[in-house]
Amino acid sequence: MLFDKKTPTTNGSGKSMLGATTFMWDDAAKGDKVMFRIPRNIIWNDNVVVREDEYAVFFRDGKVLTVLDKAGRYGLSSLNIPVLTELQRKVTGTQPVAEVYYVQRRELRGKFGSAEAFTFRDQDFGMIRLRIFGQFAYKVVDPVQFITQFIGTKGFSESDNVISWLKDEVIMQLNDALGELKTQKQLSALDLPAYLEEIEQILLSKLEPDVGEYGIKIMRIAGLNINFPEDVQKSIDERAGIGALGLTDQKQKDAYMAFQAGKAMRDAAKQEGGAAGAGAGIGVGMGAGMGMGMMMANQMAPGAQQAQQAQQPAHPQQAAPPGGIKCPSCGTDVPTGSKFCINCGAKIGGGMSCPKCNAEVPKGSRFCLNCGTKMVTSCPQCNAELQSGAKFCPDCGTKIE
Amino acid sequence: MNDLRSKVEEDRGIVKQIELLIPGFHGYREREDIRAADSLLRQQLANKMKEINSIFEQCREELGRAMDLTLISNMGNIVKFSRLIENRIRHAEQGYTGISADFRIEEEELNTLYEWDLALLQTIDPIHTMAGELLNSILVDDGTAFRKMRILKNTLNEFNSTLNKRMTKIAGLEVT
Repeated sequence: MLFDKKTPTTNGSGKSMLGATTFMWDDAAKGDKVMFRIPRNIIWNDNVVVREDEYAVFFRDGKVLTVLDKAGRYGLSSLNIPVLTELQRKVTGTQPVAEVYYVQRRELRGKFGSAEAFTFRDQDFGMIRLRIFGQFAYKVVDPVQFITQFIGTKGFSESDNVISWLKDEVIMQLNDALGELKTQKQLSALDLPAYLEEIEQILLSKLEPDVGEYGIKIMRIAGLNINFPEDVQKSIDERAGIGALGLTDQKQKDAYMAFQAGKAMRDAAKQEGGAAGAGAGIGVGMGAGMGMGMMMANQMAPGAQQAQQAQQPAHPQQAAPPGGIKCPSCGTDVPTGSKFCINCGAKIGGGMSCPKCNAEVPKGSRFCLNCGTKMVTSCPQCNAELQSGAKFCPDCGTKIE
Repeated sequence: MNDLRSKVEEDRGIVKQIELLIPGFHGYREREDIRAADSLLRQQLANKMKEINSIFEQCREELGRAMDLTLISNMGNIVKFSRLIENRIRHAEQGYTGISADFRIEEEELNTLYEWDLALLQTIDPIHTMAGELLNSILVDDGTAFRKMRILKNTLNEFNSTLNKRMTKIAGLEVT
Protein backbone atom coordinates (compact mmCIF):
# COMPACT_ATOMS: atom_id res chain seq x y z
CA MET A 1 0.00 0.00 0.00
CA LEU A 2 1.36 3.31 -1.06
CA PHE A 3 -0.09 5.66 1.49
CA ASP A 4 -0.42 3.73 4.70
CA LYS A 5 2.60 5.06 6.52
CA LYS A 6 4.54 8.22 6.42
CA THR A 7 7.91 7.29 5.03
CA PRO A 8 10.76 9.44 3.74
CA THR A 9 10.00 8.26 0.19
CA THR A 10 6.29 9.07 0.28
CA ASN A 11 6.29 12.81 0.68
CA GLY A 12 3.20 14.39 2.06
CA SER A 13 1.53 11.22 3.24
CA GLY A 14 0.92 10.91 6.93
CA LYS A 15 -1.28 8.95 9.29
CA SER A 16 -3.02 10.35 12.36
CA MET A 17 -3.77 8.57 15.62
CA LEU A 18 -7.33 8.00 14.41
CA GLY A 19 -6.06 6.52 11.17
CA ALA A 20 -6.84 9.37 8.72
CA THR A 21 -4.20 9.74 6.02
CA THR A 22 -3.16 12.35 3.49
CA PHE A 23 -3.17 10.77 0.07
CA MET A 24 -1.38 11.86 -3.06
CA TRP A 25 -0.53 10.11 -6.29
CA ASP A 26 3.13 9.37 -5.94
CA ASP A 27 5.23 10.25 -8.99
CA ALA A 28 7.03 6.93 -8.83
CA ALA A 29 3.72 5.07 -9.05
CA LYS A 30 2.34 7.29 -11.80
CA GLY A 31 4.43 6.06 -14.71
CA ASP A 32 2.29 5.34 -17.75
CA LYS A 33 -0.95 5.08 -15.89
CA VAL A 34 -3.89 7.18 -16.99
CA MET A 35 -5.78 6.35 -13.85
CA PHE A 36 -5.10 5.12 -10.33
CA ARG A 37 -7.47 3.94 -7.61
CA ILE A 38 -6.38 4.52 -4.03
CA PRO A 39 -6.09 0.95 -2.80
CA ARG A 40 -7.89 1.54 0.47
CA ASN A 41 -11.35 2.30 1.72
CA ILE A 42 -11.45 6.03 2.46
CA ILE A 43 -12.21 6.83 6.09
CA TRP A 44 -13.64 9.94 7.70
CA ASN A 45 -11.37 13.00 7.30
CA ASP A 46 -8.87 11.36 4.97
CA ASN A 47 -7.17 14.11 2.99
CA VAL A 48 -6.53 14.00 -0.73
CA VAL A 49 -3.96 16.20 -2.47
CA VAL A 50 -4.86 17.05 -6.06
CA ARG A 51 -2.14 18.51 -8.24
CA GLU A 52 -2.58 20.81 -11.23
CA ASP A 53 -2.17 17.85 -13.60
CA GLU A 54 -4.68 15.55 -11.91
CA TYR A 55 -8.34 14.99 -11.24
CA ALA A 56 -9.61 13.05 -8.26
CA VAL A 57 -13.06 11.47 -8.38
CA PHE A 58 -14.69 10.59 -5.08
CA PHE A 59 -17.14 7.68 -5.12
CA ARG A 60 -19.24 6.77 -2.10
CA ASP A 61 -21.15 3.50 -2.19
CA GLY A 62 -20.76 3.38 -5.96
CA LYS A 63 -22.00 6.93 -6.64
CA VAL A 64 -19.86 9.81 -7.88
CA LEU A 65 -20.07 12.43 -5.16
CA THR A 66 -17.59 14.95 -6.49
CA VAL A 67 -14.85 15.57 -9.00
CA LEU A 68 -11.93 17.41 -7.45
CA ASP A 69 -10.60 19.26 -10.50
CA LYS A 70 -8.91 22.21 -8.83
CA ALA A 71 -5.48 21.83 -7.37
CA GLY A 72 -5.46 21.73 -3.57
CA ARG A 73 -5.88 19.57 -0.47
CA TYR A 74 -9.33 18.22 0.27
CA GLY A 75 -10.68 16.62 3.45
CA LEU A 76 -13.09 13.83 2.55
CA SER A 77 -16.02 12.83 4.64
CA SER A 78 -17.26 9.27 4.47
CA LEU A 79 -19.32 7.11 6.77
CA ASN A 80 -16.23 5.11 7.60
CA ILE A 81 -15.61 6.50 11.06
CA PRO A 82 -12.69 4.92 12.89
CA VAL A 83 -13.66 2.46 15.63
CA LEU A 84 -17.41 2.94 14.99
CA THR A 85 -17.19 1.48 11.49
CA GLU A 86 -15.31 -1.51 12.78
CA LEU A 87 -17.96 -2.00 15.44
CA GLN A 88 -20.73 -1.65 12.87
CA ARG A 89 -19.02 -4.18 10.59
CA LYS A 90 -18.73 -6.71 13.41
CA VAL A 91 -22.34 -6.27 14.53
CA THR A 92 -24.20 -5.87 11.24
CA GLY A 93 -21.67 -7.24 8.74
CA THR A 94 -22.00 -4.15 6.52
CA GLN A 95 -19.45 -1.52 5.69
CA PRO A 96 -19.73 1.68 3.67
CA VAL A 97 -17.38 1.90 0.70
CA ALA A 98 -15.68 5.15 -0.28
CA GLU A 99 -13.15 5.26 -3.11
CA VAL A 100 -11.00 7.86 -4.80
CA TYR A 101 -9.78 7.54 -8.38
CA TYR A 102 -7.00 9.74 -9.64
CA VAL A 103 -6.99 10.53 -13.37
CA GLN A 104 -4.17 12.21 -15.27
CA ARG A 105 -5.08 15.61 -16.58
CA ARG A 106 -1.98 16.31 -18.65
CA GLU A 107 -1.55 15.47 -22.31
CA LEU A 108 -0.31 11.98 -23.05
CA ARG A 109 1.26 10.98 -26.33
CA GLY A 110 0.99 8.06 -28.65
CA LYS A 111 2.05 7.00 -32.12
CA PHE A 112 -0.09 5.59 -34.88
CA GLY A 113 0.69 3.89 -38.14
CA SER A 114 -1.09 1.60 -40.53
CA ALA A 115 0.02 -1.96 -39.81
CA GLU A 116 -0.63 -2.82 -43.45
CA ALA A 117 -0.45 -0.42 -46.38
CA PHE A 118 -3.96 0.40 -47.53
CA THR A 119 -5.05 0.59 -51.13
CA PHE A 120 -5.96 4.02 -52.39
CA ARG A 121 -7.57 4.63 -55.77
CA ASP A 122 -5.59 7.51 -57.15
CA GLN A 123 -6.29 9.64 -60.22
CA ASP A 124 -2.63 9.76 -61.30
CA PHE A 125 -1.42 6.28 -60.49
CA GLY A 126 -4.57 4.18 -60.40
CA MET A 127 -4.54 1.78 -57.47
CA ILE A 128 -1.63 2.45 -55.15
CA ARG A 129 -0.79 1.40 -51.66
CA LEU A 130 -0.12 4.05 -49.03
CA ARG A 131 1.42 3.83 -45.59
CA ILE A 132 0.59 6.38 -42.94
CA PHE A 133 2.43 7.27 -39.75
CA GLY A 134 2.14 10.00 -37.16
CA GLN A 135 1.79 10.97 -33.54
CA PHE A 136 -1.07 12.24 -31.47
CA ALA A 137 -1.57 13.84 -28.09
CA TYR A 138 -4.67 13.11 -26.06
CA LYS A 139 -6.00 13.99 -22.68
CA VAL A 140 -8.85 13.09 -20.40
CA VAL A 141 -11.33 15.96 -20.32
CA ASP A 142 -14.19 14.29 -18.51
CA PRO A 143 -12.87 12.03 -15.73
CA VAL A 144 -16.26 10.62 -14.72
CA GLN A 145 -17.08 9.69 -18.30
CA PHE A 146 -13.61 8.21 -18.66
CA ILE A 147 -13.89 6.06 -15.53
CA THR A 148 -17.43 4.91 -16.10
CA GLN A 149 -17.31 4.35 -19.87
CA PHE A 150 -13.71 3.58 -20.67
CA ILE A 151 -12.25 1.98 -17.58
CA GLY A 152 -15.58 0.47 -16.57
CA THR A 153 -16.42 -1.12 -19.91
CA LYS A 154 -12.99 -1.81 -21.37
CA GLY A 155 -10.99 -2.25 -18.18
CA PHE A 156 -8.07 -0.10 -19.33
CA SER A 157 -5.94 1.79 -16.86
CA GLU A 158 -2.57 1.80 -18.59
CA SER A 159 -1.85 4.50 -21.12
CA ASP A 160 -0.74 1.86 -23.64
CA ASN A 161 -4.20 0.26 -23.68
CA VAL A 162 -5.83 3.59 -24.33
CA ILE A 163 -3.30 4.44 -27.03
CA SER A 164 -3.81 1.19 -28.90
CA TRP A 165 -7.56 1.78 -28.89
CA LEU A 166 -7.14 5.37 -30.04
CA LYS A 167 -4.67 4.29 -32.74
CA ASP A 168 -7.34 2.21 -34.47
CA GLU A 169 -9.76 5.12 -34.31
CA VAL A 170 -7.22 7.51 -35.84
CA ILE A 171 -6.36 5.15 -38.72
CA MET A 172 -10.01 4.49 -39.47
CA GLN A 173 -10.90 8.18 -39.57
CA LEU A 174 -7.80 9.00 -41.60
CA ASN A 175 -8.76 6.49 -44.29
CA ASP A 176 -12.19 8.02 -44.32
CA ALA A 177 -10.81 11.58 -44.59
CA LEU A 178 -8.47 10.68 -47.47
CA GLY A 179 -11.30 9.00 -49.34
CA GLU A 180 -13.50 12.07 -48.94
CA LEU A 181 -10.70 14.40 -50.01
CA LYS A 182 -10.25 12.38 -53.17
CA THR A 183 -13.92 12.30 -54.09
CA GLN A 184 -14.91 15.78 -52.97
CA LYS A 185 -11.72 17.73 -53.67
CA GLN A 186 -10.14 15.53 -56.34
CA LEU A 187 -6.90 15.37 -54.36
CA SER A 188 -4.46 12.81 -55.68
CA ALA A 189 -1.74 11.05 -53.69
CA LEU A 190 0.77 13.58 -55.02
CA ASP A 191 -1.25 16.47 -53.56
CA LEU A 192 -1.42 15.00 -50.06
CA PRO A 193 1.93 16.29 -48.73
CA ALA A 194 0.84 19.85 -49.49
CA TYR A 195 -2.28 19.46 -47.34
CA LEU A 196 -0.94 17.69 -44.27
CA GLU A 197 -1.96 20.48 -41.90
CA GLU A 198 -5.47 20.56 -43.33
CA ILE A 199 -5.69 16.76 -43.15
CA GLU A 200 -4.66 16.93 -39.49
CA GLN A 201 -7.44 19.41 -38.76
CA ILE A 202 -10.05 17.39 -40.66
CA LEU A 203 -8.93 14.34 -38.75
CA LEU A 204 -9.26 16.14 -35.42
CA SER A 205 -12.75 17.28 -36.30
CA LYS A 206 -13.72 13.74 -37.27
CA LEU A 207 -12.27 12.17 -34.14
CA GLU A 208 -13.99 14.60 -31.78
CA PRO A 209 -17.38 12.86 -31.51
CA ASP A 210 -15.96 9.33 -31.51
CA VAL A 211 -13.52 9.72 -28.66
CA GLY A 212 -15.55 12.41 -26.85
CA GLU A 213 -18.06 9.88 -25.58
CA TYR A 214 -15.26 8.24 -23.57
CA GLY A 215 -14.25 11.52 -21.94
CA ILE A 216 -11.11 11.83 -24.05
CA LYS A 217 -10.04 14.55 -26.44
CA ILE A 218 -7.36 14.24 -29.11
CA MET A 219 -5.53 17.51 -28.70
CA ARG A 220 -3.26 17.43 -31.73
CA ILE A 221 -1.91 15.28 -34.51
CA ALA A 222 1.75 15.78 -35.35
CA GLY A 223 4.31 14.40 -37.76
CA LEU A 224 1.73 13.04 -40.18
CA ASN A 225 3.64 11.13 -42.85
CA ILE A 226 2.15 9.56 -45.94
CA ASN A 227 4.51 7.23 -47.79
CA PHE A 228 4.29 6.06 -51.36
CA PRO A 229 5.35 2.55 -52.33
CA GLU A 230 8.74 2.16 -53.97
CA ASP A 231 7.52 1.75 -57.56
CA VAL A 232 5.33 4.86 -57.39
CA GLN A 233 8.19 6.82 -55.88
CA LYS A 234 10.42 5.61 -58.72
CA SER A 235 8.08 6.83 -61.40
CA ILE A 236 7.75 10.17 -59.62
CA ASP A 237 11.55 10.41 -59.59
CA GLU A 238 11.68 9.58 -63.30
CA ARG A 239 9.20 12.30 -64.11
CA ALA A 240 11.12 14.71 -61.90
CA GLY A 241 14.31 13.69 -63.75
CA ILE A 242 12.74 14.67 -67.06
CA GLY A 243 11.71 17.99 -65.59
CA ALA A 244 15.14 18.61 -64.07
CA LEU A 245 16.87 17.94 -67.39
CA GLY A 246 14.58 20.48 -69.00
CA LEU A 247 13.42 18.05 -71.66
CA THR A 248 10.46 19.76 -73.22
CA ASP A 249 10.50 18.19 -76.65
CA GLN A 250 8.58 14.91 -76.90
CA LYS A 251 11.39 13.26 -78.87
CA GLN A 252 13.91 14.09 -76.17
CA LYS A 253 11.56 12.76 -73.49
CA ASP A 254 11.09 9.53 -75.42
CA ALA A 255 14.83 9.16 -75.85
CA TYR A 256 15.39 9.72 -72.15
CA MET A 257 12.79 7.12 -71.22
CA ALA A 258 14.28 4.64 -73.68
CA PHE A 259 17.71 5.25 -72.22
CA GLN A 260 16.39 4.68 -68.68
CA ALA A 261 14.67 1.45 -69.72
CA GLY A 262 17.78 0.18 -71.47
CA LYS A 263 19.86 1.01 -68.43
CA ALA A 264 17.42 -0.82 -66.16
CA MET A 265 17.56 -3.93 -68.32
CA ARG A 266 21.33 -3.85 -68.47
CA ASP A 267 21.44 -3.57 -64.68
CA ALA A 268 19.05 -6.50 -64.39
CA ALA A 269 21.32 -8.59 -66.62
CA LYS A 270 24.29 -7.87 -64.35
CA GLN A 271 22.48 -9.19 -61.27
CA GLU A 272 23.38 -12.62 -59.97
CA GLY A 273 20.58 -15.19 -59.68
CA GLY A 274 17.07 -14.67 -61.00
CA ALA A 275 16.11 -14.86 -64.62
CA ALA A 276 18.51 -12.17 -65.72
CA GLY A 277 21.45 -13.83 -63.97
CA ALA A 278 21.52 -16.88 -66.22
CA GLY A 279 23.53 -16.96 -69.42
CA ALA A 280 20.43 -16.57 -71.47
CA GLY A 281 19.48 -13.63 -69.30
CA ILE A 282 22.77 -11.95 -70.09
CA GLY A 283 22.06 -12.42 -73.75
CA VAL A 284 18.60 -10.98 -73.39
CA GLY A 285 19.89 -8.15 -71.26
CA MET A 286 22.62 -7.25 -73.68
CA GLY A 287 20.31 -7.64 -76.64
CA ALA A 288 17.69 -5.50 -75.03
CA GLY A 289 20.26 -2.94 -74.02
CA MET A 290 21.58 -2.78 -77.54
CA GLY A 291 18.06 -2.62 -78.90
CA MET A 292 17.31 0.29 -76.62
CA GLY A 293 20.51 1.96 -77.68
CA MET A 294 19.54 1.59 -81.31
CA MET A 295 16.08 2.89 -80.55
CA MET A 296 17.55 5.86 -78.76
CA ALA A 297 19.91 6.55 -81.63
CA ASN A 298 17.02 6.39 -84.05
CA GLN A 299 14.96 8.75 -81.97
CA MET A 300 17.79 11.21 -81.66
CA ALA A 301 18.24 11.27 -85.45
CA PRO A 302 16.27 14.02 -87.20
CA GLY A 303 13.09 12.73 -88.78
CA ALA A 304 13.63 9.30 -87.34
CA GLN A 305 10.41 9.38 -85.39
CA GLN A 306 8.28 9.99 -88.43
CA ALA A 307 10.05 7.18 -90.24
CA GLN A 308 9.58 4.92 -87.27
CA GLN A 309 5.92 5.77 -87.06
CA ALA A 310 5.54 5.03 -90.75
CA GLN A 311 7.08 1.60 -90.20
CA GLN A 312 4.67 0.74 -87.42
CA PRO A 313 1.77 -1.57 -88.34
CA ALA A 314 -1.63 0.03 -88.77
CA HIS A 315 -3.02 -1.93 -85.79
CA PRO A 316 -0.09 -2.42 -83.48
CA GLN A 317 -2.36 -3.73 -80.69
CA GLN A 318 -2.68 -6.99 -82.60
CA ALA A 319 1.00 -7.82 -82.14
CA ALA A 320 1.44 -10.13 -79.15
CA PRO A 321 3.65 -8.70 -76.37
CA PRO A 322 6.70 -10.91 -75.83
CA GLY A 323 6.52 -11.44 -72.09
CA GLY A 324 5.62 -7.82 -71.35
CA ILE A 325 2.72 -5.41 -71.59
CA LYS A 326 1.67 -3.70 -74.74
CA CYS A 327 0.95 0.01 -74.64
CA PRO A 328 -2.79 0.58 -75.17
CA SER A 329 -2.00 3.85 -76.97
CA CYS A 330 0.82 3.13 -79.45
CA GLY A 331 1.17 -0.65 -79.11
CA THR A 332 4.86 -0.62 -78.14
CA ASP A 333 5.99 -3.53 -75.98
CA VAL A 334 6.98 -2.28 -72.56
CA PRO A 335 8.55 -4.24 -69.69
CA THR A 336 6.19 -5.87 -67.20
CA GLY A 337 5.49 -3.62 -64.26
CA SER A 338 6.01 -0.38 -66.23
CA LYS A 339 3.71 2.44 -65.32
CA PHE A 340 4.27 4.49 -68.44
CA CYS A 341 4.98 3.64 -72.09
CA ILE A 342 8.65 4.04 -73.03
CA ASN A 343 7.62 5.23 -76.50
CA CYS A 344 4.68 7.59 -76.12
CA GLY A 345 4.62 8.10 -72.33
CA ALA A 346 0.99 6.94 -72.05
CA LYS A 347 -0.09 5.55 -68.69
CA ILE A 348 0.00 1.78 -68.55
CA GLY A 349 -2.59 -0.11 -66.54
CA GLY A 350 -4.81 1.48 -63.98
CA GLY A 351 -7.83 0.62 -66.05
CA MET A 352 -8.92 -2.80 -64.93
CA SER A 353 -8.11 -5.41 -62.40
CA CYS A 354 -8.43 -9.14 -62.96
CA PRO A 355 -11.48 -10.58 -61.18
CA LYS A 356 -9.53 -13.78 -60.41
CA CYS A 357 -5.98 -12.82 -59.40
CA ASN A 358 -6.58 -9.06 -58.96
CA ALA A 359 -3.58 -8.19 -61.14
CA GLU A 360 -3.68 -4.84 -62.91
CA VAL A 361 -4.20 -5.16 -66.66
CA PRO A 362 -4.27 -2.46 -69.37
CA LYS A 363 -7.66 -1.06 -70.21
CA GLY A 364 -9.32 -2.94 -73.04
CA SER A 365 -7.45 -6.20 -72.44
CA ARG A 366 -9.45 -9.31 -73.16
CA PHE A 367 -7.39 -11.61 -70.99
CA CYS A 368 -5.42 -11.15 -67.77
CA LEU A 369 -1.70 -10.96 -68.46
CA ASN A 370 -1.00 -12.74 -65.22
CA CYS A 371 -3.41 -15.68 -65.04
CA GLY A 372 -5.08 -15.61 -68.44
CA THR A 373 -8.64 -15.17 -67.11
CA LYS A 374 -11.05 -13.74 -69.69
CA MET A 375 -11.62 -10.09 -68.91
CA VAL A 376 -14.62 -9.38 -71.12
CA THR A 377 -17.95 -11.04 -70.54
CA SER A 378 -21.08 -10.81 -72.60
CA CYS A 379 -24.56 -9.61 -71.73
CA PRO A 380 -26.99 -12.49 -71.13
CA GLN A 381 -29.80 -10.48 -72.76
CA CYS A 382 -28.30 -8.97 -75.94
CA ASN A 383 -24.90 -10.71 -76.00
CA ALA A 384 -23.07 -7.38 -76.17
CA GLU A 385 -19.51 -7.35 -74.85
CA LEU A 386 -19.09 -6.16 -71.28
CA GLN A 387 -16.06 -4.83 -69.50
CA SER A 388 -14.87 -6.72 -66.44
CA GLY A 389 -16.79 -5.67 -63.34
CA ALA A 390 -19.60 -3.96 -65.32
CA LYS A 391 -22.84 -3.68 -63.36
CA PHE A 392 -25.10 -2.93 -66.32
CA CYS A 393 -24.99 -3.74 -70.03
CA PRO A 394 -23.97 -0.59 -71.97
CA ASP A 395 -26.32 -1.58 -74.87
CA CYS A 396 -29.56 -2.78 -73.32
CA GLY A 397 -29.07 -1.71 -69.67
CA THR A 398 -29.64 -5.20 -68.28
CA LYS A 399 -28.40 -5.57 -64.73
CA ILE A 400 -25.42 -7.92 -64.58
CA GLU A 401 -25.38 -10.28 -61.59
CA MET B 1 -22.29 40.28 -9.23
CA ASN B 2 -21.22 38.31 -6.17
CA ASP B 3 -17.95 39.18 -4.53
CA LEU B 4 -16.28 35.85 -3.98
CA ARG B 5 -13.97 37.41 -1.40
CA SER B 6 -16.84 37.93 1.04
CA LYS B 7 -18.16 34.44 0.25
CA VAL B 8 -14.79 32.93 1.15
CA GLU B 9 -14.66 35.04 4.31
CA GLU B 10 -18.13 33.97 5.39
CA ASP B 11 -17.42 30.30 4.80
CA ARG B 12 -14.28 30.20 6.93
CA GLY B 13 -14.16 27.02 8.97
CA ILE B 14 -13.20 26.76 12.62
CA VAL B 15 -9.51 26.10 11.92
CA LYS B 16 -9.28 29.20 9.73
CA GLN B 17 -11.01 31.32 12.35
CA ILE B 18 -8.49 30.17 14.95
CA GLU B 19 -5.67 31.04 12.56
CA LEU B 20 -7.02 34.62 12.35
CA LEU B 21 -6.51 34.98 16.10
CA ILE B 22 -2.88 33.90 16.07
CA PRO B 23 -0.52 36.88 15.96
CA GLY B 24 1.53 36.87 12.75
CA PHE B 25 -0.87 34.43 11.14
CA HIS B 26 -3.72 36.87 10.64
CA GLY B 27 -2.25 38.58 7.56
CA TYR B 28 -1.30 35.25 6.03
CA ARG B 29 -4.88 33.96 6.44
CA GLU B 30 -6.37 37.17 4.94
CA ARG B 31 -4.12 37.01 1.88
CA GLU B 32 -4.71 33.30 1.43
CA ASP B 33 -8.49 33.91 1.36
CA ILE B 34 -8.21 36.56 -1.34
CA ARG B 35 -6.06 34.17 -3.39
CA ALA B 36 -8.70 31.47 -2.92
CA ALA B 37 -11.41 33.89 -4.11
CA ASP B 38 -9.27 34.92 -7.08
CA SER B 39 -8.63 31.27 -7.91
CA LEU B 40 -12.39 30.58 -7.95
CA LEU B 41 -12.90 33.60 -10.18
CA ARG B 42 -10.19 32.43 -12.60
CA GLN B 43 -11.80 29.00 -12.80
CA GLN B 44 -14.98 30.73 -13.95
CA LEU B 45 -13.00 32.71 -16.46
CA ALA B 46 -11.26 29.56 -17.73
CA ASN B 47 -14.60 27.76 -17.97
CA LYS B 48 -15.98 30.62 -20.08
CA MET B 49 -12.96 30.24 -22.33
CA LYS B 50 -13.66 26.51 -22.50
CA GLU B 51 -17.19 27.26 -23.69
CA ILE B 52 -15.75 29.52 -26.39
CA ASN B 53 -13.34 26.74 -27.33
CA SER B 54 -16.16 24.32 -27.81
CA ILE B 55 -17.78 26.80 -30.26
CA PHE B 56 -14.46 27.01 -32.12
CA GLU B 57 -14.29 23.23 -32.23
CA GLN B 58 -17.80 23.16 -33.66
CA CYS B 59 -16.63 25.60 -36.34
CA ARG B 60 -13.74 23.29 -37.17
CA GLU B 61 -16.08 20.31 -37.29
CA GLU B 62 -18.34 22.12 -39.76
CA LEU B 63 -15.38 23.13 -41.93
CA GLY B 64 -14.12 19.55 -41.81
CA ARG B 65 -17.50 18.25 -42.86
CA ALA B 66 -17.51 20.68 -45.79
CA MET B 67 -13.85 19.74 -46.57
CA ASP B 68 -13.00 23.44 -46.65
CA LEU B 69 -9.24 23.25 -47.13
CA THR B 70 -8.84 27.03 -47.26
CA LEU B 71 -10.28 27.85 -43.85
CA ILE B 72 -9.74 24.74 -41.78
CA SER B 73 -6.08 25.26 -40.92
CA ASN B 74 -6.82 28.88 -39.85
CA MET B 75 -9.56 27.53 -37.65
CA GLY B 76 -7.16 24.95 -36.25
CA ASN B 77 -4.78 27.72 -35.26
CA ILE B 78 -7.55 29.62 -33.50
CA VAL B 79 -8.53 26.46 -31.56
CA LYS B 80 -4.92 25.91 -30.45
CA PHE B 81 -4.46 29.54 -29.41
CA SER B 82 -7.71 29.68 -27.54
CA ARG B 83 -6.82 26.47 -25.65
CA LEU B 84 -3.50 28.02 -24.72
CA ILE B 85 -5.31 31.05 -23.29
CA GLU B 86 -7.68 28.80 -21.34
CA ASN B 87 -4.77 26.94 -19.74
CA ARG B 88 -2.93 30.19 -19.00
CA ILE B 89 -5.96 31.54 -17.15
CA ARG B 90 -6.55 28.30 -15.25
CA HIS B 91 -2.98 28.05 -14.02
CA ALA B 92 -2.12 31.76 -13.78
CA GLU B 93 0.06 33.20 -11.03
CA GLN B 94 -1.73 33.68 -7.73
CA GLY B 95 0.47 36.39 -6.29
CA TYR B 96 2.68 34.51 -3.86
CA THR B 97 5.83 36.09 -2.48
CA GLY B 98 8.16 34.66 0.11
CA ILE B 99 9.60 36.17 3.30
CA SER B 100 12.38 38.17 1.67
CA ALA B 101 11.08 38.41 -1.88
CA ASP B 102 12.43 40.85 -4.51
CA PHE B 103 9.02 42.45 -4.59
CA ARG B 104 6.12 41.88 -2.24
CA ILE B 105 2.49 41.26 -3.09
CA GLU B 106 0.45 42.67 -0.25
CA GLU B 107 -3.25 42.48 0.49
CA GLU B 108 -3.96 45.62 -1.50
CA GLU B 109 -2.25 44.20 -4.60
CA LEU B 110 -4.08 40.92 -4.22
CA ASN B 111 -7.34 42.87 -4.20
CA THR B 112 -6.24 44.61 -7.40
CA LEU B 113 -5.44 41.19 -8.87
CA TYR B 114 -8.97 40.02 -8.05
CA GLU B 115 -10.49 43.10 -9.66
CA TRP B 116 -8.27 42.73 -12.73
CA ASP B 117 -9.53 39.16 -13.19
CA LEU B 118 -13.09 40.35 -12.66
CA ALA B 119 -12.59 42.83 -15.50
CA LEU B 120 -11.33 40.02 -17.72
CA LEU B 121 -14.57 38.16 -17.10
CA GLN B 122 -16.41 41.08 -18.66
CA THR B 123 -14.08 41.36 -21.65
CA ILE B 124 -14.44 37.69 -22.47
CA ASP B 125 -18.13 38.07 -23.30
CA PRO B 126 -17.56 39.86 -26.65
CA ILE B 127 -15.27 37.00 -27.69
CA HIS B 128 -18.09 34.58 -26.93
CA THR B 129 -20.44 36.60 -29.13
CA MET B 130 -17.88 36.77 -31.94
CA ALA B 131 -17.37 33.01 -31.78
CA GLY B 132 -21.11 32.48 -32.13
CA GLU B 133 -21.23 34.82 -35.14
CA LEU B 134 -18.35 32.95 -36.75
CA LEU B 135 -20.17 29.64 -36.33
CA ASN B 136 -23.27 31.14 -37.93
CA SER B 137 -21.37 32.49 -40.88
CA ILE B 138 -19.76 29.07 -41.43
CA LEU B 139 -23.13 27.35 -41.21
CA VAL B 140 -24.83 29.68 -43.71
CA ASP B 141 -21.64 30.01 -45.78
CA ASP B 142 -22.06 33.77 -46.29
CA GLY B 143 -18.40 34.27 -47.28
CA THR B 144 -17.50 36.35 -44.22
CA ALA B 145 -15.91 33.56 -42.20
CA PHE B 146 -12.32 34.37 -43.16
CA ARG B 147 -12.69 38.04 -42.21
CA LYS B 148 -14.34 37.08 -38.91
CA MET B 149 -11.52 34.65 -38.16
CA ARG B 150 -8.94 37.40 -38.63
CA ILE B 151 -10.80 39.75 -36.32
CA LEU B 152 -11.16 36.97 -33.74
CA LYS B 153 -7.46 36.14 -33.93
CA ASN B 154 -6.61 39.81 -33.29
CA THR B 155 -9.02 39.97 -30.35
CA LEU B 156 -7.53 36.81 -28.86
CA ASN B 157 -4.06 38.30 -29.31
CA GLU B 158 -5.10 41.41 -27.41
CA PHE B 159 -6.61 39.29 -24.65
CA ASN B 160 -3.40 37.29 -24.41
CA SER B 161 -1.33 40.50 -24.18
CA THR B 162 -3.54 41.68 -21.31
CA LEU B 163 -2.87 38.38 -19.55
CA ASN B 164 0.86 38.83 -20.09
CA LYS B 165 0.76 42.18 -18.33
CA ARG B 166 -1.36 40.88 -15.42
CA MET B 167 1.33 40.38 -12.81
CA THR B 168 3.76 43.10 -13.89
CA LYS B 169 1.01 45.72 -13.82
CA ILE B 170 -0.35 44.62 -10.47
CA ALA B 171 3.00 44.39 -8.75
CA GLY B 172 3.94 47.77 -10.21
CA LEU B 173 6.88 46.30 -12.10
CA GLU B 174 6.19 47.82 -15.51
CA VAL B 175 8.75 50.36 -16.72
CA THR B 176 7.14 53.22 -18.62
